[in-house]
Amino acid sequence: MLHSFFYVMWYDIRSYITNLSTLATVCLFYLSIIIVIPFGLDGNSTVISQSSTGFIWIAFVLCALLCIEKQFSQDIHTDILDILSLRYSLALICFSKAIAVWVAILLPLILFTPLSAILLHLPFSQLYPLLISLLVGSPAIAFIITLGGALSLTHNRGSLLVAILCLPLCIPVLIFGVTAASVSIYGYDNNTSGLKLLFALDLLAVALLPWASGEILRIELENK
Amino acid sequence: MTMELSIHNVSVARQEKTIFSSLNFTAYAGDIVCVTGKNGSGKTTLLRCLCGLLPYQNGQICLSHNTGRYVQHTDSQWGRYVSFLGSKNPLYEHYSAQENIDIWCRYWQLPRLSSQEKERKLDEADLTKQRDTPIHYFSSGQKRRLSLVLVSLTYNSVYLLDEPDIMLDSCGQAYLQNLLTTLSERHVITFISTHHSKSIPSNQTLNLDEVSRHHCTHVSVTPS
Repeated sequence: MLHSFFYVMWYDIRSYITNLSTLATVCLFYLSIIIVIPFGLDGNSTVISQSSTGFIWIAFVLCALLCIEKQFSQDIHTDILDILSLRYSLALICFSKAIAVWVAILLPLILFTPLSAILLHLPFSQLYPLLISLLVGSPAIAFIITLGGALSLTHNRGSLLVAILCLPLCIPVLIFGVTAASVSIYGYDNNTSGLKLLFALDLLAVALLPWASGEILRIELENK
Repeated sequence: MTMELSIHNVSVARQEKTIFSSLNFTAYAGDIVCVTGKNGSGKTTLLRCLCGLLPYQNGQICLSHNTGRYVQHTDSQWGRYVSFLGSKNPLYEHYSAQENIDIWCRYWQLPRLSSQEKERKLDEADLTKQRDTPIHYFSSGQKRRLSLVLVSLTYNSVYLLDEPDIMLDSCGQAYLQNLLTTLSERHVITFISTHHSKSIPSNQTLNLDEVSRHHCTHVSVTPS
């Protein structure tokens, strides 16, 4: 049972790495949002640097939603999912897909964040809490993406609609992520409640979303 | 070893539309059952139902061995007794033919093949030249042949092949016939849905048109 989990994860990660288009699209979209923001704010550097954690978090969530379509894209054209579902639990497969997208897409995106922090004049002292908050918040987002991917499996052009459906689910992560990232701005250095709540959201996502996505997949495979 | 797959009074409905009802059929070890019928008569539905991807409304499907082992369709173990090849190919697009064989062996917990064995298997299907080519460069007939190679690697009691002969050239047809004879010699039950039943060395035919017609008369009788 467990080896299937590792192999699904490993082959997905390798697919993302051998075919770099998804990663490149997501990273470039991330950078372009960040580059565009100062133009919208009339180049006012104090406003930009004050709210840059919020901008980076919003850009991160939007870019993550771009992967929804790719999450199960190869399973639309093949029968791998049907065959895996004969032996392994779909919830487990969804779980490994979420981990794969986290490792192959969201982690590189977090590595890109220092660059966007420089572009938005983020004070260097705030970069560290921002990175930590992204690192802690992103697993929950990966599970939400997998849920969206499962929903968009049979609707080829529905992925944009599904992104709209998934965005509200990301709002709690966004709220607590920004809280955790801006702790040092407000000077509560010992207040880690934002991070703790992000961890709680991660646990909630791990506990609920793979089962939900697995059930959605089962229904979609039955109606295929 | 004698083995028997019995379909007793099975009805299948999809999206509240009855595909077929009161289907009775028994297949024995070594049988090659040719499932025929018009487009939309429920060939794919029957095979997906037999392999456990679709639920059925009433009746019973069970597999019994003369050793006394008895497996019901609803059993979670059912997936361990069937090999399924759907209308699409269970291949990862970004990996080569050899890697796809490795992936398949891992998913099915089969012993890993040495490169000579892989070579031999690919040679049988006339795919030696393409062994290191990624699947997305394959023609659809080559993909189908590779899928048949993958199915031939498994050791199960029941094989369900959904139109394995689409896209195959005469050489591929010969490979398929060879594979079917080997399966028959292994004393497994093979269900194969096809529109070219003449080229299949079958010894039983299950015509779904007749089942459906029977159902139609049945419906016209019920209201009176």
